Amino acid sequence: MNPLSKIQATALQLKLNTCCMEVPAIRLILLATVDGFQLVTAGNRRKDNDLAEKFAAIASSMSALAEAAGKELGSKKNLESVALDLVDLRVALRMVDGGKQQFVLAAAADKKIELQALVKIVHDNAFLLEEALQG
Amino acid sequence: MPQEYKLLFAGGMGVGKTTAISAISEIPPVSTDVANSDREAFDKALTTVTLDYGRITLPSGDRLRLYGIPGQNRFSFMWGMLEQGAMGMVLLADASRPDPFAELDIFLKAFGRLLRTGRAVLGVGRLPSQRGELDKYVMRLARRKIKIPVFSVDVREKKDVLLLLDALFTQIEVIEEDYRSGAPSEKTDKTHSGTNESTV
Repeated sequence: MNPLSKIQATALQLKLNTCCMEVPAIRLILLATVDGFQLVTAGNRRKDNDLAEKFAAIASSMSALAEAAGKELGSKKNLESVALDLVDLRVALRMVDGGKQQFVLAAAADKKIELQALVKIVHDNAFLLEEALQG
Repeated sequence: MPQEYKLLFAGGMGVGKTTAISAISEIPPVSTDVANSDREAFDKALTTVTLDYGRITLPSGDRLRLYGIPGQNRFSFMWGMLEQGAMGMVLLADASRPDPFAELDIFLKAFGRLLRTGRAVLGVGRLPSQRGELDKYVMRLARRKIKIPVFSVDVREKKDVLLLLDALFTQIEVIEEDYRSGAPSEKTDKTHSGTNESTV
């Protein structure tokens, strides 16, 4: 059921690993299906697959809820991104157009990084992943 | 003054929670359905990942806010949030699933506290026509000390969903009457089983 080929998965893994190396504040970044299955995950903390699985499901729920909220408030466009600013944590999500299907890229980071900066990182990486998925 | 009540629709993936809410909601339901990428596990194009929301106004003017949970286990972090403040629950099951009782058990456990108050009903879809099939569900509930009405339903039918709500409100009224009178709850004696025709 994994929609990614091995080559795609490897390429995406490299990109997310690079992102984590460049931004130590990122605790966890992952690509998930829109219905909440984690596909590719990287992080700067101890690997915790349960947490990654849960984060994938949460990212799916948050993006779907944000899209529903947008529609109810009159938006005719699809969701682009969601940002959360917690006291000790920042989260950003962005939809990724994989060509045949949509995905969600989600990152959780320490407060060391500004929310706007995290949103930009997720945006830039979503663009890189789209290239890899569609290319 | 009209009151607002929150009702929860629960059950596994594909049992018909979104369909049930859509069947009775007087507003276009808020849906968080997305493409289902696990078609091997369940051959269904869309799946709910956060919630469904609908609304219905009763003849009294009271409003019911209808919340559907996402049925897949990985979204269980939503269940407790959605359960908060719910006055009752419509639990749905699909008898045609490979192991409907195991699936049902997940929700009996997750929502056990609300279910054991008796403020709930169980609707079973796609039930085989053999006699006694519904009793298996009643017994399954009894094993967890849950005594609620059980009905065979087709949630695509508005009348069937309204039947579940009617039964739920009867159940809640009985419980509240017992509470007001200080008598021990007799909800266990009000439990029905059988097809929806025989229990109306």
